Amino acid sequence: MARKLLGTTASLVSRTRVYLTDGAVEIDEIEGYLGTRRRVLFDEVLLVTLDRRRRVSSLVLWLALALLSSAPGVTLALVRTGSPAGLVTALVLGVPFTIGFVLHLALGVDYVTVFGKRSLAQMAFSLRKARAREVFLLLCERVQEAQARERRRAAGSAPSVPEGSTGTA
Amino acid sequence: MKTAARAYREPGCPRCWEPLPRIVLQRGVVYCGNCALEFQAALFDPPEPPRAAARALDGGTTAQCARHARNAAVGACERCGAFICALCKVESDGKVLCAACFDRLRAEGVLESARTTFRSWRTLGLYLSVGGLFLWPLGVVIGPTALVAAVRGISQDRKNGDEGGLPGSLLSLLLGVVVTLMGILMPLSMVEALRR
Repeated sequence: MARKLLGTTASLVSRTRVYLTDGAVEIDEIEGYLGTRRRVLFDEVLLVTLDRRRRVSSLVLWLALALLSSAPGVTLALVRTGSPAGLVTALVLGVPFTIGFVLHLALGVDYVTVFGKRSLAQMAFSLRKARAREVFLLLCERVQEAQARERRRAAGSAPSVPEGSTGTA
Repeated sequence: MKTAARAYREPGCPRCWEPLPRIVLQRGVVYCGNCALEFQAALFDPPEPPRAAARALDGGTTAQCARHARNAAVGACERCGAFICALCKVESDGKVLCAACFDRLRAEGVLESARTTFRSWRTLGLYLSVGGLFLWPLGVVIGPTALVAAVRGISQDRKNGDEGGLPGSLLSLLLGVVVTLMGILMPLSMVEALRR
């Protein structure tokens, strides 16, 4: 059964990979090397959302890392005034995290979330904004097709319930 | 994500998970008053599954479901052969099963589509190969183990039809070879250096 990777999210302890299959969205949640697989069937999807957010915790983390990594260079620069070594060290070590902070602040992270009847799937896109929109539209289209197909099938095979019956087994 | 999955009750805000009424969600662009997130929403109305099955005709001219005697059978379980109605019928992995056989096969781990836990060999291969770089004295053990895990990861990805997992597996293969060589060559070179 072929499946296509749509997107991922990650936390400190686990990684989540979301795949597109024929009739559902599959969510593989991996903690360590053990994984749990869930599905959100297209014909049970209630809502699909697309949003952009900037997490305060991520911004604080980037800033803290930038400050921590540039601290040795800054200390050196203060101790040895006149020598550029400290400044260079601070820049080399601190710039990557500063860039991360600025990027996260400017661009945010796009999230696509699929809500089913019993479970949900969420994917994060940090830099690929167009991909996030593409996935959102693709999922909406697949869900619409699947639910329309299911409605047609149910209408075609609807059992005829005799008169006076409650219609339950 | 795990917290969100456990806390999920009904559709709502994708950040704070606060349930929102349909009348709000169908606006298209929604503002969550709880966490101030603005998001785009596509609302769906999934079809309800059938709650009734066709009745078996009086006089016994149609086969009856083994579990629901008043319902007409729409097929037979491929495992136990019992007649099943539309309510009992479960289709899984291309097989038509009754509820009891589905539960039995799922518990045995036979049904691929019903399997909910798995071992990610690709991830294990990566952990072993990267860890082996630091634990090089055990390289002769960790390296080959990482190689086996990476190969199984490639095979697992092919079986699942996963795209995009190959670079990770190739990296573990490469690092596994490096770790194995480190485990063999570094002790030998240290012994050689001590002899001199």
